[in-house]
Parts: sequence; C-alpha cells; structure tokens
Amino acid sequence: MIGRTWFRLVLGAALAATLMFLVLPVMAIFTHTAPGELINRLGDPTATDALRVSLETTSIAVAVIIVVGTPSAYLLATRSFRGRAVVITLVELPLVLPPAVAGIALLASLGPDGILGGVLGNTLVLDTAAVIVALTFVSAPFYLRQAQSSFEAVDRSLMEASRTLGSSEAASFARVAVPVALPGLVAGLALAWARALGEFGATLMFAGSFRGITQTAPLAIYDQFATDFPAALALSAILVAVSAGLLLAVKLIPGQKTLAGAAR
Amino acid sequence: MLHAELAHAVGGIELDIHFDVPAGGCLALAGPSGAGKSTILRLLAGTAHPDRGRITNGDEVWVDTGRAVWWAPERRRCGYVFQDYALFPHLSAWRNVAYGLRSTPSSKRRESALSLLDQFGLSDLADAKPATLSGGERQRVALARALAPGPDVLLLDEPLSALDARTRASASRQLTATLGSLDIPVVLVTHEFNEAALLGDEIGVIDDGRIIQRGSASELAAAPASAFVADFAGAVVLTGTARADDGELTIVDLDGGGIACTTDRGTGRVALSVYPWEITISQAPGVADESAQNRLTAQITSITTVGNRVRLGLAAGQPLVSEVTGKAIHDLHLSIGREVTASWKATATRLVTL
Repeated sequence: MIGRTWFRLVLGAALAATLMFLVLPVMAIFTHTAPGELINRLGDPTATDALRVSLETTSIAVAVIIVVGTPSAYLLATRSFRGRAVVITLVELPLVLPPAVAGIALLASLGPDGILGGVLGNTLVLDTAAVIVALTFVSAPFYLRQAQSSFEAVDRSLMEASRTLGSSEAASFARVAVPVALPGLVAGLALAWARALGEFGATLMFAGSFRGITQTAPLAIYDQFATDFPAALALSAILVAVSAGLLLAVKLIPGQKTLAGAAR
Repeated sequence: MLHAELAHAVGGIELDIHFDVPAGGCLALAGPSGAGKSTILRLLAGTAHPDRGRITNGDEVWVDTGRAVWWAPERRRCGYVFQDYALFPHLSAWRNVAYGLRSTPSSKRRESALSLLDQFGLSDLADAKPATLSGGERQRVALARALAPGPDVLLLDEPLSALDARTRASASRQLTATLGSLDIPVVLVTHEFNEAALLGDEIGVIDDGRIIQRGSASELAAAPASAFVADFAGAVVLTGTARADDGELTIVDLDGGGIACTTDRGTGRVALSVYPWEITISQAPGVADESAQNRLTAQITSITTVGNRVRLGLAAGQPLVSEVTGKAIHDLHLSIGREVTASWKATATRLVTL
C-alpha cells in the first residue's frame, strides 16, 4: 500500500513539474506586462505590418499547398509505382531539415546565384514572394503527409462504388475521396498553417527581414526583443492565441486519429 | 446476355472463368472464402483489369485484351452491391441513392431517389446518414443505389452475409422479389451454398479458380461433379408452410405436396434443411415401423458415386438428395426410375423462418 502511494506521488510530481515547465513561459507572455500596455503596443506600425505580412504570406502559402498538395497526396495514396517510397521520403525530407539548411537550400536553388536564379532573375530576392516560397517549402510536408494517410484511409470500395455509378475518377475524387478524407485534410491544413506561422530561420535567410515586405511576426519579435520588449511580447501573445486556436481546431475535428503520425 | 471469359492471377489463384448469363437470369458463383470471387465482380465492373479476357454485354464489347478494348467502369452501367455495402458515409440515404442519377435533372433527383427508397420501405430514413442505419437498412439503401440509374447488369457481393440471422430471412425474401422483377443479367457471389440456392437461378461452384460445376441447386446436390461440390452443396432445402404448433413437433406442409416434421419451432413460411446422409432409403411402400417421423415417396432420378459414397437424386414434391453406401445400392437393387421411400428423423430437420 505504501509502495503504491509512493509511486503515485512520483507520477503526480513529474506531471506537475512538466506542466510548470511547459506552461509557465507561455503564461509569462500574458502576465509580464500589463494587458493594457500589450494592446497599446499592437497599434505600433511595426506590429501591424508584421501581422499583415504574416497573414498574407501564410494564407497564400497554405492555398498553394492545398491546390498542388491535395492531388499529389491523392496520387501517392492511391497509385503504386516504381520509386514511390523514394518520392515519399523526398517529400518528407523538409520535415527534418534544420531551418538554416532549408534557408541555404532555397538560396542555392532559387536565390540570385542559385541554379534556377538565372531563370527567375532577381524577382524573388527580398520580396514577399520569397517569404511565401520559404513558408511553402517548410510547411508543405506537414499537409502532404496527413493528406496522404487520410486518402489511404478512404475505403477502396467507396471509390469503386462511385465509378460504377457513372462518375469518372476525377469526379469520384471530388465527390467522394475529398469529402470522406476532409477531417484529415483540415487537420493537415491546420498543422501546415501553424508551422508556416512560426517559420523563422529559412525566411530570415532567404527573404530577409524588411518591415512591411518580408518581416513576418516571428521576425518582428526577434527584431524588437532587444529594443522594445513589450512590443515583442504583444506580438508573441497574438501568435500564442492563433497557434492555440489552430491546435484546438485540430483536436475538435471528429475522427482524427492520424495526427500523431503527421509530425513524425 | 452477359458473356465473360477471364484469365487473371490474384493472390496465388489463377482464375480461369467462363460464363454466360441471360437477361433476367441470376448466376450465383459460390465458393470458399479467398477463391477470388470478389475479384470476378471487380473484373466485370471494370475496377480491375484482367490479365487476359473478353467481356461482352449484348452488342457492347467491354473488354477484349486481344484487341486492346477497355471500357472504364463508369461506361459499363453495372449496378454493384458491395459486401460491406460501401455507402458514402458523408451523404444521407437519399443522396446515396441519387448519386448515380446523373442524367436526371437535379430538381427531379430527390423525387426519384425518394420513390426508390419508398419501394424498399425506407422512405422514413431518407435523410439519415449511413452510420445511423441498421445492417438490413444499409443493404436496402445499397441495393436501391445500385438500381437507381437503371443498370444493364447487376453485381452482388455476398449480399446477405453482413446481416444477422434474423434480418437475413426478411432481407433474402425482399432480395429474391427484387431480383425476380429485374430484366437484366445478375451475377452474385457468395461463400454460402444456401444463399446461392435461395437467390440464384443457377449456381456455379468455384474451386481453385474455375467453375467446376454449374446447375440448379438440386442438380448440384443430387449429382455433384466432385467431392468438393458434394460437401459444399451441403443440406437439402425444402420450403413449405408450418401449421400451428401441436405442442411437441412443428408440422410443415411442403410445397409440391407431402408433410414433414421438425423439433424446431416456427410458423408461417419456412425452409427445412436436412443433410443428405440423414436421409435413408427403403423399398416402397415403406411401413411405419421405424423412429423416423418423415417419410416421402420419391423416384430415383440420378445415381452418382462421390468417393466411397453414392448420392441419389430423388424426385418428390421437391427435389431430395440422399447419400448412401454402394452396398445399399446393391442390396436394395436401386436404379434410376425406381420408386422408394425416403425417410429421416424430425430431430435431424432444421427449420428457418422465411
């Protein structure tokens, strides 16, 4: 009896320490400076510009990921072909790439001196488009992985039923595969969005940090933390709220079981 | 007329299947699980490509691997009832049924779907999602969905096996009525001989990738081409109407004449089943000096040796099959055309309410 009580205490203490450690820093964002002061700081043009850039770039990146990534994931989920495993591994690689490496990789490929630099000219450098490229590169794999496993989970006989009822494969994709896989697709989308919103390293290296053009919210926080700590806190508070909202959205989607696999 | 000749390797089985099904006919392909039966339906529907083969329906050539002819599934107009029914989980019952109504103007689709659901006794459930339906309801929605576009061929994969015993009786009755009213070729696959006997006009027994015998249920039971068919064909099934309970036994007036008793309980339309080896043969006219309660006068129509056993096909009000030893044939001087008495015990007779 004593033994069991002892073990239960250890478990409880471990969880309490874990919670403290994980929650305290997030709590501190909201409690370090008075709420009124935080809201004041949000009126600062640096903050509003950064939030605008973040909202625009992540929205466009996520839209590109949906449009191109959904059919790609469907293909990977439903076809077997030579080299499929290699393709899947290549698609997942950015998940495990250090952000600095991602930034260098983008510069080496699409930068002014990159292998495709000649084709693109200088259009990408230090432009909002460069931010979108960096965000897409790092966050697309999150969506692709989740979407692929969601499409794999769609019962083959559902697609067969749709075909025998007169729908082409393209129509069956739109009318059956996407609606049935939708909870998984939305979860993947939320993960990709959260990842894009927090992107820092690759964006800084590839797009730079210019206010109103390439300076996203995380870059603005970094820019300001030495000079204007409350402003950095205010922006951070916004990001915490948005990230928590996205996490909650994923948790509330019914029938989500593959979430853990998405970030593997 | 649906015509198929298919050669296809799947999961270690070399399918080599040939058959014709006339319009209005129902061919039941019966065989053990894992015999490639579902694959045959996939090949017919076009959701799988045969290694070699040719499929035609009327004047249409759906597949001819020799001439590189291939019709996509959406062009073949095959109604397909899947084993697990494969209802679209995100659509309500009526939208499932309306899914294939592409040529109907969208304003009329709901109306058409509702009238079909009504025929299947499902009008109250038109707005229900598949997850909230019972097994029997799903089966009927799946059937209504497959029939809604007016298919040229109907394919059924184990249409009753996902149902519990109670639902099965009413579902099989409805399915029999529906199939009887159709004027198109129907192919159904099942691993249960009784299901094949109940629903098919003809049964093709599949073993090792081939149709090893094709015929009516009573033909297969009476004169099986191999021991596999003999074992698979299993019990003799007799239909009839049960009289009101007399307390100890259920007495059934058999269709086609005669009565039979069983210790099982039931009233109304029933099917009795008895194994061929439970039915004994004596010289007609028999005398009631044995414990067997059930006695029918019958004429021998076939004598088929299956291993060390002999199957006798018997014509009574309904076809019967008896399995005896070679010695019995000799001792009783049994030959085709002889009139004999078939008898079996009420305790060996199982009853299923239809």
